[in-house]
Amino acid sequence: MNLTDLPFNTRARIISVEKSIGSMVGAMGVLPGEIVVVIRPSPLGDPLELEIKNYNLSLRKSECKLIEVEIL
Amino acid sequence: MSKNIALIGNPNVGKTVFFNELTGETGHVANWPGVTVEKKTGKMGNIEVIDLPGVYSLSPAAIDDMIARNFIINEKPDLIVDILDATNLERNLYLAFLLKELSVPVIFILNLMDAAEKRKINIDVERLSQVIGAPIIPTVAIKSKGIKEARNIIESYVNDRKLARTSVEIIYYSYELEEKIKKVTEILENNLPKFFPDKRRWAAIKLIENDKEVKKELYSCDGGIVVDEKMKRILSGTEEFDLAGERYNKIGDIIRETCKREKGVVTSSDILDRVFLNKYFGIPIFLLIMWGMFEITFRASAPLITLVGLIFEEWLPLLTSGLPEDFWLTSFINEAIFGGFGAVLGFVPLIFMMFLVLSFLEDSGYLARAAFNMDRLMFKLGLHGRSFVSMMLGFGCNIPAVMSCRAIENEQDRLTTILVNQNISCGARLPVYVLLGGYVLGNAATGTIIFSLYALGIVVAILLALFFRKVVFKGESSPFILELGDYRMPTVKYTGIHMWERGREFIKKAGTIIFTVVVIMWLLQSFGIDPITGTLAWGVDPEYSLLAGVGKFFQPLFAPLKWSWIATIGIVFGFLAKEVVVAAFGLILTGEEEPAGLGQFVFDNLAVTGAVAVAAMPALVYGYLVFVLLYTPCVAHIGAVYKETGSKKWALVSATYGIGLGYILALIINLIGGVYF
Repeated sequence: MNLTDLPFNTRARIISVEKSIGSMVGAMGVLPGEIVVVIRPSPLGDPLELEIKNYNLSLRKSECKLIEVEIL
Repeated sequence: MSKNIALIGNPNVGKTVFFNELTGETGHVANWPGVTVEKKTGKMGNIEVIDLPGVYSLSPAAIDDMIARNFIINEKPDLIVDILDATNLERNLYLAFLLKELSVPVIFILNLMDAAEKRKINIDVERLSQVIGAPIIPTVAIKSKGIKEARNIIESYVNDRKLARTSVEIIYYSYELEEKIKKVTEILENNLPKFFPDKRRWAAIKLIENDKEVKKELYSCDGGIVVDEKMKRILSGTEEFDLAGERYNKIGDIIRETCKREKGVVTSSDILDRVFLNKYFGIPIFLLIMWGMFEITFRASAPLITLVGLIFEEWLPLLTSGLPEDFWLTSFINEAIFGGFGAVLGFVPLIFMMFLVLSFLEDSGYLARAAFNMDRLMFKLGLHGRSFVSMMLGFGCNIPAVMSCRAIENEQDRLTTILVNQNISCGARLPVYVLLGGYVLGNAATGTIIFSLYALGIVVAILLALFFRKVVFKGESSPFILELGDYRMPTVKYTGIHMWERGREFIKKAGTIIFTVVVIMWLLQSFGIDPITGTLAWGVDPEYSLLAGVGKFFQPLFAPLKWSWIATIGIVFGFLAKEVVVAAFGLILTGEEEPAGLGQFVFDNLAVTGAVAVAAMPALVYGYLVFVLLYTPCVAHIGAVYKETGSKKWALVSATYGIGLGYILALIINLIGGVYF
């Protein structure tokens, strides 16, 4: 499943990140193996607020679709 | 040669506060060469302190990152001071690792220690310092805690080159990666010995990472292609991820060793986010905050505006009451200085209040939330979260807003954001709204009218963005990656500093461009064609002055809108800078026999005499304000658009489309408001 399929407030592990966004989100800590939680969507539905590495990061769903995760 | 240090750090780590604490009042702002990102420098004793842009990494994709990286590589500062956020050490250490890779002397400041304590994060600073191999000084910059220790260590490191070199330590990666680094380093050494000779390991790592800039550098060398070919044989293509992953793995190990974090701590930021980002309340609260921003700006500055008005209209003129009335200097002081320039200065409190509220929103951390709430909308328009920030800056002044678009990577996003920004109403237009806003729905509704103008500007910007993005600049948008950092209670001191840094630009402008234009207008007002002799003369009836002549010359253009020559003068000179609109009115007013207040005077003379029914006047005033909102912001703005787009065509489009748009909208408002019946 990818990040957009993940239910809110559920811990998951990142399996892979597509290469096209890899270098951009990699510096922000979005890397394979990392634990991620989707906290909430923006009031308009997109982007999503994530918790990763103990901080809060916002990514659009279009980018979240490129991040594969597994529920822990 | 004097010594210098560079401050670097992620955004929102309190770097600006730390900079101010180090340098006191000596800081000043300029632009980085070639780019329009602000460069702040200051002095700590005789050490020069350079404030680098806030960055997450040193990747070549972002202009801020490249400014920081090029500065470190080319200018070789004596010491880098990296400011870390103690509440978010893991991500902050990523930049620290990139700096260590550059093999430059670097020490660390662990800021926001108080916030970390509140979050129940316990950091073993001593151990962390050992592992990283460089001094780490814990601070709470906003409370001046730890600053003295930081100064001492910085001084000793800057003045002792040997000591500084001890902070340079190589970070080793896994066996596989080290093998590749070793091979690439050897290839470079054998084939291109002059390629980053003192940073060969770094260059090798960057080449392995497929770094655009270093690659470009490589291709520009004789034999670069050969080196590239040799490298390709060694690399698998996944190294980019491997390196980032290994950096974070190493950081993870460090964190586990030095950092204890209590689980399940709910911070006040989390609670605030539940409200501000709430599914149902998020947007209404956003709108309420925006509306409140203008209400506060307007109401809090009203008494001060009255006071400055009193000074220039009542008290200061007493000083010149002893001078002969037909003496030119008397006229210059009374009309140009007190009347014209005074009308501009009268709005200084208003503009400062606007900057204060804007700085408060920015410093509190709410702006990032606003971007989060609005991004869907922005994205639908083909815009970007960063476009939103540039739009917010536009409320202050459109010029820095246009310049801030440099941070947008995608060219289509960037051009669109530049071209629509002028519809965001800048501080200079506000005085005109305040002067006339009360004549639309009564004084009590001035705030609402002003808000409606700002809202209209935003709507126009959005619709135009849609048009530009779908019709003119087609193509993909760039991703939206935004940190939602902790909320911070802005301090009086730093919000004040922030406000002043923006506001002084206005004062500077008032002292130069605006003053010059006012003097020119005064000269035009003072000379006129004598109606009897038909020659150029001093001090003719204002009706026949050259200024009136300018107004009357252009008035036919606005005759379909029923605007008088006085209304036209405001528009014509407002083309140079919006601040002088009220100054122009102020000048004309002082030529009048019995002044009844500037707003009333302008209102009485806005329409062609007898052409508009009293009941339709509110519509006429509103149409006029809408035109002021939409037409060319100022001459300097055209210059900024030209510089940023590098195209005469887009500068011309930007300078003219607003005139057409404003004209049409004013016509429509006149029609609806019954001006023509």
